[in-house]
Amino acid sequence: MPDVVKMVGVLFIACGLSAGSLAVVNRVTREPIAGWERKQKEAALREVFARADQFKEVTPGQRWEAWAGQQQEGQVFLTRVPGYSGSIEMMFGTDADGAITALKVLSHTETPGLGAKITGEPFRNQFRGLHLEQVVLRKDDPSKGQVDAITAATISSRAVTRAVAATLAAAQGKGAANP
Amino acid sequence: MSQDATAAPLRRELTKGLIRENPILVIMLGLCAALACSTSASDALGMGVAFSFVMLGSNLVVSMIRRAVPSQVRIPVFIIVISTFVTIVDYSLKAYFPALSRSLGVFVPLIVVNCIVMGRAEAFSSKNGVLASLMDGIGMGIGFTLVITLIGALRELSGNGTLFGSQVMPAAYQPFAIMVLPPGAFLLIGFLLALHRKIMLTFYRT
Repeated sequence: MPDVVKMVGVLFIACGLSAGSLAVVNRVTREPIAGWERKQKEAALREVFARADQFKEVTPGQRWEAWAGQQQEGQVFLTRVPGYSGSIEMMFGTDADGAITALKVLSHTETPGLGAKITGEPFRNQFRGLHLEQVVLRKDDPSKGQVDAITAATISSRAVTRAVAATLAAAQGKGAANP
Repeated sequence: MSQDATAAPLRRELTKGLIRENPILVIMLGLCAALACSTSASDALGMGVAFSFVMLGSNLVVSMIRRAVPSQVRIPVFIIVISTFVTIVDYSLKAYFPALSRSLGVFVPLIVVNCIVMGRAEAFSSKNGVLASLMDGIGMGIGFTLVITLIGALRELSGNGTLFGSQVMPAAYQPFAIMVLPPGAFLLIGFLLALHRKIMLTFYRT
């Protein structure tokens, strides 16, 4: 019986000390972590829509209106899609004409050296100025496609391209063009 | 006991983690983190430092409480101690080194189940004094950090042509993409084990 009491007592104290110290750590780090996440999102918004000086969140975590002064310049979308080895999260802006201003990959777990090149400028810059119907891989639709897939990373490239097209299509009320 | 008699074993506890009982190359525990977080030198170094902190903290606490903990519940208590330190590291990285925290991803929380930390708690610090455990923790931490950083640097150099993020190889160099992929880590660790064996046979004759 005393054995059991000691065992329970020791575990109880260990858990209590652990919980207490973690509460302190959580208190100290909560502000910096939240602040960093906020800054990160704002920096991403600014990067995909450099002209705008104010972003109004329309659908939380999915759609923002980009305003410059009193004028609405366009919209910013955030979307998530399964890539080759996990979820790819990306953000892109469109101007008043519906042309893409810029694309930024926020997080991904694609293969380093291959699929991970979707974060590189050579791939992302291809999207600049494209309209919905042009957002297709050149190898999937040679007549309209304006996006070259990354060598040896077609699946990652296609995932990004289709996600952008589907989000744009949904926003323009045309339904998903590339399911 | 004279002072030399205690100082020599302590020095041994400190240095054994470097070569003779290196956690990756000899004990071969915690290979998961060593293989997965070594795609670049800076990630590997970050992982090594995070691991060393946990190793040091858990060895210290486990050796201090070793007499108070009944042996039936020692494993749960060790896990509580280790996971507390891991969570502290995880939150601190997120708050102060967010970029590093992002690239190490899930492998920081996974230090909890890193067999070296558990293994040293069970095999060493639950049986030895605070000072010896401290030395053991520092030695194991440094040994792990050195080897994982070496693997990271070699993989980054051959697989990407860079070192700590800056271009080293000439532009004409065609990177071995396989080296930054999982098979590259296994290949490289095999070569390092062979090299380590050679060093052991030559200098330590064991």
